[in-house]
Amino acid sequence: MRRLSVIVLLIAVLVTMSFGAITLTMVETITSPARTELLRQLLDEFEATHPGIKVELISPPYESSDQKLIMMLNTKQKVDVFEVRDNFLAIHVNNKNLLDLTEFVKQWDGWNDLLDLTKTAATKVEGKTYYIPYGFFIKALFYRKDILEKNNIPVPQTMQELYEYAKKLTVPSEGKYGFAFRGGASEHSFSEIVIMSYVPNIDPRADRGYLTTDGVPYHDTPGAVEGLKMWIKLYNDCSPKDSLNWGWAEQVNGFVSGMTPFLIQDPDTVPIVERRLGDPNLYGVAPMPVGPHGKVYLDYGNAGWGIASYSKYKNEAWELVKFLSSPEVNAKFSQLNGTIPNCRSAFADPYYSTGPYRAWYEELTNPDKYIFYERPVHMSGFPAYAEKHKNDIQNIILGKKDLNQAVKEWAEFWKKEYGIK
Amino acid sequence: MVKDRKFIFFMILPSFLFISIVTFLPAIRSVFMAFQDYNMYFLTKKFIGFENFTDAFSDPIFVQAVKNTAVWVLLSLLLQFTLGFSLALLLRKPFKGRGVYTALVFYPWAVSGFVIGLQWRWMFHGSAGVINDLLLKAGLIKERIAFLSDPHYALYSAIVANIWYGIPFFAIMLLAALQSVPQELYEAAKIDGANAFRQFINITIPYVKPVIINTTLIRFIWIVNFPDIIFSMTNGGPAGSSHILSTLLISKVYNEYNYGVASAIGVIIMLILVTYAYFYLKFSRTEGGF
Repeated sequence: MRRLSVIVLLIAVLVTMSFGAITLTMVETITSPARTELLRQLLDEFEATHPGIKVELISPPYESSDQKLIMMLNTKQKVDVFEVRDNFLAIHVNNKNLLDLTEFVKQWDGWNDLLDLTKTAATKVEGKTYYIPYGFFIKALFYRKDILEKNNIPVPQTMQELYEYAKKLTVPSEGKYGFAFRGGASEHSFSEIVIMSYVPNIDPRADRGYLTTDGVPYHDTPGAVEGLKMWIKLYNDCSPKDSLNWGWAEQVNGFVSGMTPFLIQDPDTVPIVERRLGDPNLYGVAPMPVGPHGKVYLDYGNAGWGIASYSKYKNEAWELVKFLSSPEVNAKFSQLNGTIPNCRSAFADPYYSTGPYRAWYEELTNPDKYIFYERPVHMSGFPAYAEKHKNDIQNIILGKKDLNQAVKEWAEFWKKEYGIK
Repeated sequence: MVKDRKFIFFMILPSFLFISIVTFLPAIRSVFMAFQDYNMYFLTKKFIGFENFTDAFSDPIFVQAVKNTAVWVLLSLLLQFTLGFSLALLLRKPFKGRGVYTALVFYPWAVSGFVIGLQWRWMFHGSAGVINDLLLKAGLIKERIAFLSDPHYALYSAIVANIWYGIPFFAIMLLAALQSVPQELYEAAKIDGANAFRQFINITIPYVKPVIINTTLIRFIWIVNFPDIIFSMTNGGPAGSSHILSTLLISKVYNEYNYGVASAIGVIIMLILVTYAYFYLKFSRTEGGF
């Protein structure tokens, strides 16, 4: 009996060794049911074209997915391919959990098709390719066509116009406002667009985030102070009171209900806005209004696919990353995900060259007006800064903090982080 | 006897091991983390003495959170208890449809704290919320109040939600206790000429006192450690004005990735609760509670 079971076991081991498929473990972090479903379909396609490779997809709940992934990586659990978000890139590299893909990329045709922005993002740490971004979150201005037409208001081209038009639309007694202010979590990625557009000389280089070309933090420069005042005017004169603590859901709700017809948002808001409005003619998306110097600085949030440094199946994992980064798969994924695709050939698709996405195309192809920079999310002080920025702006509006004091503190914060005397 | 003891020890061992691994180990680990430079950017885990604690204490939001925790716990507990007890007294006497009514009353207890937070967040919404709408229609206010964006209202809005959530707990526990009071005692008291108030003070209260002590103790600890509602309603905002210690702890982890300071706050919460439980039990024991 015992001998029999040993033989059976041996055979089983041999069979799995010779025919056994390799199983790649992939972890996504920006999870949503619809996206997980699409990813699974794409992975099924991959499995069909790559016999011998199976992919197991792990999709932790969004609220704690990043923490969970970092925990898995730090405890060296089986992960081969994972979603790399730009704000966690530095963490993954510092913890030596990301594989340097430079050698793989050299032999990959797809590299040349990538947008310049994709290449910049992919190689921003030490010039090494640690991940292949699948797309970008870039802000643009959403507006309610119907409401603007009714009030005879054009689409604003500058921040000053945005303020004036929004103010015209604001009638608090009727529950009408102009602007969907963002005061809650992640407010910095909204307020800073307006604030920085008043600064003439932001340094766009990746390792110089938040510095001007003079090498100092932008925060307490005269332009930034003016910009901050504009941001606060947008709240005081054009936004509902409770927007002081608004997050994404309230912003979108205000826009869809018609309460706040101007909204600054990312491309992933397009499908939701369209679905909830039920009519694509009710809204439009315009490139971000520019500041008094004729330009605006936009951060390019992004995420992509990377390979765990300790993966046993690095070659197979690269096959999967290559597959996910190919134009057809990327276009399919971007449409559902709402991100701006990562390569040139995707923009030939009418889905991206017309309609709301046209605004982002404008932004991507007019480098004099729309300047892409990177927030210093890779620096360890960043999360604390973001939290402080949010609290300080709320306190300024509540009259509990002096504006000039706040900008000084922000500048000091970054001087310390950069070691500038 | 000795053999019995061995047997008992043997039977307890698995659960003891299990609890040690899932409860005590992480708790001890978090105490260590409170003294380490533990953040997600650099896993140096260097020991830095009391720096995390001084960091926490020097943060004005921490000080605010300590005050808020006191308000949050005391108001929530007091009103949850009073309303829960009243409800239990009402439900004690049989009436038609009591079963259905009881089930409805107990319903909030079955809902997750996050969901409750989300529901109340929309109800308190400054422009589209039903509460503003009702107050306006009743003529109690002239313009809408931004409940969750105004530091004067944010914490109290969350307390309202928490009270709503916690009433059933006291109602369930106290109703069970009330039903165990022997009816003869009331009959005897009635013959002795005691009115309803005296019956309540001299019979009901002494009988349910152990349950009152136990439930308020447990509930106190739960409310201190219950960030769900505040987290989903205000996220501690605006400007940190509605943080309690446990939501501040979460914010340190999720917004700032700073596990060291978060653990320090965790240790502070633990110390507060241990001290509270010690004195509470000591006090109630001398009163003859347990």
